[in-house]
Amino acid sequence: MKNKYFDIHKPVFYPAAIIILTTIAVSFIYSKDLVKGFTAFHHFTSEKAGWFFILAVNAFVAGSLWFAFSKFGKIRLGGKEAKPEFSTFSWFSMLFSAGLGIGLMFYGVAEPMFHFSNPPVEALDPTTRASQAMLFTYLHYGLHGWGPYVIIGLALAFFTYNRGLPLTISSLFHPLIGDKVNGWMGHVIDIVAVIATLFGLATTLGLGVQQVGAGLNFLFDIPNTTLTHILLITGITLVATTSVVLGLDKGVRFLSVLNMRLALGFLVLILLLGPTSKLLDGFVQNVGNYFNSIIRVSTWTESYTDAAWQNDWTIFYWAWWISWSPFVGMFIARVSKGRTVQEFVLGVLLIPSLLVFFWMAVFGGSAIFLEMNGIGNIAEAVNEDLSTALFVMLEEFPFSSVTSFIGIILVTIFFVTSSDSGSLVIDSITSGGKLDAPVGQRIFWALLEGAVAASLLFAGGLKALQSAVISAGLPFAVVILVVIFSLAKVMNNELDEEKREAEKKEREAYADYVKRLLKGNQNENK
Amino acid sequence: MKINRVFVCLDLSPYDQYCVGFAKFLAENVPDITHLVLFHNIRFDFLGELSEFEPAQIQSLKKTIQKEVEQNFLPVLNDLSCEIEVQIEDENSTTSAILNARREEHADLMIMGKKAENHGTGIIPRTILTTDDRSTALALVPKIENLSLKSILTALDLSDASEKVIDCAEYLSGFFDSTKTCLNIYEVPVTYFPYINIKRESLADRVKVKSHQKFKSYISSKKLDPDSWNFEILKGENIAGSIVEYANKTKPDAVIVGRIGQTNLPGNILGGVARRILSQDMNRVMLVV
Repeated sequence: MKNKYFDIHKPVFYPAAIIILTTIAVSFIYSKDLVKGFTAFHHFTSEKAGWFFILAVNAFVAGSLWFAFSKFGKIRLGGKEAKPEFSTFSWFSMLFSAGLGIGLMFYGVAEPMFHFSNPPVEALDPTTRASQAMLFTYLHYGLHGWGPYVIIGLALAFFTYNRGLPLTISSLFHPLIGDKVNGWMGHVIDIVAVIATLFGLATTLGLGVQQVGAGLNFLFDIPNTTLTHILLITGITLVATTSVVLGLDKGVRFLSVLNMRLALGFLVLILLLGPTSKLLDGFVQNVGNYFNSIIRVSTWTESYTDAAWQNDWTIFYWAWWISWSPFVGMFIARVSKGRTVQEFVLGVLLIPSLLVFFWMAVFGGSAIFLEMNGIGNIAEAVNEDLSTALFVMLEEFPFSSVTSFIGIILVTIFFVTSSDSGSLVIDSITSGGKLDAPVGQRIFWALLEGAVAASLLFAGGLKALQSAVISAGLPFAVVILVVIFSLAKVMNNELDEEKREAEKKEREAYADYVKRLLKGNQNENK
Repeated sequence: MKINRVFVCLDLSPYDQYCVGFAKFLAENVPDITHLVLFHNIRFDFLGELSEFEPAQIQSLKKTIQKEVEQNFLPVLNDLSCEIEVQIEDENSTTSAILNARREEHADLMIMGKKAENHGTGIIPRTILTTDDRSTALALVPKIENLSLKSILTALDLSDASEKVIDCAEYLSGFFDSTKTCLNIYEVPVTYFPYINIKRESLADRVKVKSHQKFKSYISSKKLDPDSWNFEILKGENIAGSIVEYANKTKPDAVIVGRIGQTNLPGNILGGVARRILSQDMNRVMLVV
């Protein structure tokens, strides 16, 4: 179906829309059972397949670096003549805002503080606990987190811009199932991708409103209730819809760049207001410690202990990053035309990781510094409610009402940038892989996304969906491993094809020439 | 720079006539040239699947090729006053056969075909560029009918290799009365973060001013005659691509580039820019010195 406002790929659009609406309806009625079922499945996969997640994320990082520094690194996405569509800063801002966003605001203070007060490996000395807390936070937000995004994003960008396949998740399977991606198998894959993206966004948006709600309660005593959350979702969805309607260039890019500048300003402000030199000391030491310990800590599986800390944190994170990779990967692919494979990998893997490390060193480091010096009681606040962590910490600094307000604004814009980029991805899949879907369709998905988040929050199905999305991490980890091989195979073909063709011509021409000479010789001898 | 002995590498493809044509053109106009070698190494790697060929026939094949080359090209070169020799070898590696023979012949210039991307792999010239320990000047000749060296484009990166490039251009223009253009491409580095308070535009302006200053002082230090040299400085994101683009636009008769430029370490060892130009479509004679 194609008209001015909609350009629908029916086999994907309708089933996806129906399943999403049905799930919302069911969650109103069977919310408790859903929570129970998905939570049990999530716990089961974490417990039994922890080793696999750990092995897989290491393979993603190794695979990404291999693509960057091997002969594939020079391949340009979109062909030799392609030029980047966006400036490096805009590009970097967009992938950063889509890929991380709210998590950074939500866990920036909470996570290091939580690990400090509940150390993963028993330690009494506060200094050891502090470095361990930062090390595990860096592990969860560093190279291993961005690895799945790199693989999926790179594969989608390559298949779309260099091989002319549509920008949809089913294209990833083209080297495996060939043209069947255009049949029902491909449609099923795309429907699952739309549902996973929409529900994945809804769960993260759930985290976002909780934090904005906590912030507003902290600052203005606005009651932190479900009604406030739903009003917040409504407001934010309208802004996200406007951004999506304006399109990638005007809306999404503008908000992402604004967001990035605000976030960097906020970061510098906290760095200056906090114990600056201690925070910078901490950053240098933590980064060194991370790279020094990366193999040990990234392959640590909590063996020979009865503890289940890793299931709740590391495995949860790996599943979360992986389950977000179809959405973020598609978005990154959408904005990365014209980059070389090497630029792409370094841009998506290393630069965001370093920036996140600095962010964590400033926010988490400040919180740990306050706690170690007996100022404030952040640890207790974190243990009670993770979403208030940022605001409890800011209260200990000068101009806390101003900084908390900036914090709320930032969470809100991060919320919008995740939401609008998610809508663009769904638009692309449900229009059969087109890069720019019509306005009506963009509005439909942006609004539906808000509606899903609001209704699930109201019905109480958000926790069930969080578990469901994370459960999807396990099968998708297998998919990403397969994608590494299929991508390498296709890239190899691309590099070899031209060379082989030229060599064949040269070889045949030479052999023909010699054949003619030998024949002439024989005739002469006769 | 002085060219006495010229070494033409033949591969029995249609490019041979253009290489020999260029060698003749040089020998007619450069009196320093006293010796011309036409060289071919039998490509066993290309004959493996040829049922008509048996290893025992190698000597007779060598003789046949020798005769073929003599028949095809000696009449063309008949008018030249320099000494002409045809050499056919049967070494396993064509690259090392060329380099060994070149060494024995004390060649000052090698001539090879510059194959457009869809006409061949161009792997032998590329390997010669990266493995030639003596850095003999290399002329790569595409399929062009009207040979001339009236206009020469030199690509300079202001490194030591640029001196060789200028020397070569001066030497050739002495015989061909050429107009020479000195081209320098500068790059603006990528900036990632806005809190380094430099806007990309202002950074680009500063790099431009600095590059112009460096170029001007380099040119004045070389004391090049402004009447016979044109000077061009351009901004480009990809040096090799920008040189090719400029050459395709201005259509000089030959482009001279340095073998070792001012690039990164692997580039220095492997001849980065020259190598990259080689793999692009540029229908001009290219000299790597």
